[in-house]
Amino acid sequence: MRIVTGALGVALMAVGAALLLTGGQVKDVAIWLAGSVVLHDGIIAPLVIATGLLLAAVPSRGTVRAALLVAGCLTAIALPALLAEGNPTNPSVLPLDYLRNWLILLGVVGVGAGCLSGCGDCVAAGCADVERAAFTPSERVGAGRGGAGSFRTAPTRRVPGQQKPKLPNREPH
Amino acid sequence: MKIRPRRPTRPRRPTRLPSLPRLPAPVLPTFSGRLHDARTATSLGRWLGVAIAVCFVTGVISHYLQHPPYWLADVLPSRPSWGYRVNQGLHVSSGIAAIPLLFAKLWTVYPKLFVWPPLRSVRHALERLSVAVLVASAVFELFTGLLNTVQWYPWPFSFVPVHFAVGWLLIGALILHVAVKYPEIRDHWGKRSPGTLELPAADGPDRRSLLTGVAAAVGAVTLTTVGQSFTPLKAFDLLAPRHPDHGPQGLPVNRTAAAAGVTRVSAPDWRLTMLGTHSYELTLDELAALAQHTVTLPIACVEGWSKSAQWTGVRVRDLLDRAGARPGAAVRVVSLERRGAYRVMEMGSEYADDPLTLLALRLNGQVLSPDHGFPARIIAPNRPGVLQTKWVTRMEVL
Repeated sequence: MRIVTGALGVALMAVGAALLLTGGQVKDVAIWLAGSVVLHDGIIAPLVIATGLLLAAVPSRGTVRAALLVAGCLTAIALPALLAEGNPTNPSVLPLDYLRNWLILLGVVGVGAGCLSGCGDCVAAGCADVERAAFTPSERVGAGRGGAGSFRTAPTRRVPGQQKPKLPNREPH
Repeated sequence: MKIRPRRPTRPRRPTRLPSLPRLPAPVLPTFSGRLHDARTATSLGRWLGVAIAVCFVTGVISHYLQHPPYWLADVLPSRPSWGYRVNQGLHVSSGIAAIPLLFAKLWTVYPKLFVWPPLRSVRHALERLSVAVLVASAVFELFTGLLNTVQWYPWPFSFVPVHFAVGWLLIGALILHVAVKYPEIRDHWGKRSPGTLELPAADGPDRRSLLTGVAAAVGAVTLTTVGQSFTPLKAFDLLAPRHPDHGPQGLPVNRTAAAAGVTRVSAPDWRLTMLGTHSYELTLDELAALAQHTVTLPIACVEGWSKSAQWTGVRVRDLLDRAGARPGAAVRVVSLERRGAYRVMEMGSEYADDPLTLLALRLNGQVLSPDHGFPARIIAPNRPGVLQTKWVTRMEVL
């Protein structure tokens, strides 16, 4: 069964190779295929690994990691829209303000992660008053577990007495 | 990932072949981080596999709907009318969902890139080659597909045939990979699988946390783009290259009148030429005086966006009957545009006979705008947008 499956895979790969060969653009495609591996293995993966090393000792690591994953993937899919020139003769291609939307999304991710890590710290500290802590995470974080919740983009650090952190009130249209 | 090869000391025997000079092992990176394990790879890999399989199947369907070989042209179904819309929405959103999954999967197995010696045997060499093809084709397909949705083509080759060919390369390499890795996949499939149980139990919560993060990333990229085709979620359509409400007459456009060079069509001079056993010509007024039908059909682009709209016009079947076409005839439609891969379009009999297939004159009750194909365009169910020919000037019974 494994051999049959493997053979099927090889056969499908051969279909792809034959399509490429008859297309007559093999050299350019080969360069771009190799470039894809270099781009990932040489640039993207080392950057991600390096980020992982920096995160190793961060409190609420899981939440911070998830936030960076979400933010990074949103950025990856936003990049073409952010960098493409668009089509001046066709206003329905790339019609949105992608820079604004991308920043809103990063803000939402940051606020969400801040709230989550605040809750997480609270639960970890055995705090019974979960609800209160969820709304004022910074007090608990600041008071007890120095450095916890230090995720930079989370606007949960505030001096008691200041206004509540606002969720972005600009609704995605 | 520190594996120190333990080599039992044994007396050197004279070898018949001259031995290659032993290469000094280079300084390779070591990975102290956890979760570069088979259980994590299996958990991520099966979701990535599902996404790629959906992307491949919908891609093949899309390709043959758009470029049908002659033996397929007359049997391609015109129903369900929303079929192409769902197909292409799935194709683009499964491709986008695969991006976080691919990043995470490759991160998990990244340490395997650094092994010494790089090739141990023919089998090992072939395995590494297949993985190289898998990684290259996966990154390539997602990258080119994403750039295609924003109509950005920085490469020297043409997108459609190459994206199609590399898709076969990718699915083949994926199936081969599953066959090669089957024992490891089986041993790490479930929480209680033997391989999983051998892994440090302390990694369990960390792994779940990573998988939750990846799931959140998949959800986020899907939610912020899927609204371009799944219109109930259009309020969250923040990053997609299209928005269903942005475009002339509230509908996106792929090829504008300016791009096609047909900005000034003089309605009094325009004629529809029908070629058949009883050829005839119609002015716009005569066409508008024929029996008009209104249908609700989606227009769905190969690039992923789609939107339903109300179209009013003359049934293509009625026009063909008047030209003396036998039932089951195919039709060729020619556009006024001067150049373009889809200036001439052929439509199989399933589409030509469908009562929903119109030569439309109106969109949502208004006369077609130039960008939507004034004075007349084709709208047919279950077809890629590029085949919904605009600025129609001639139709030929085949």
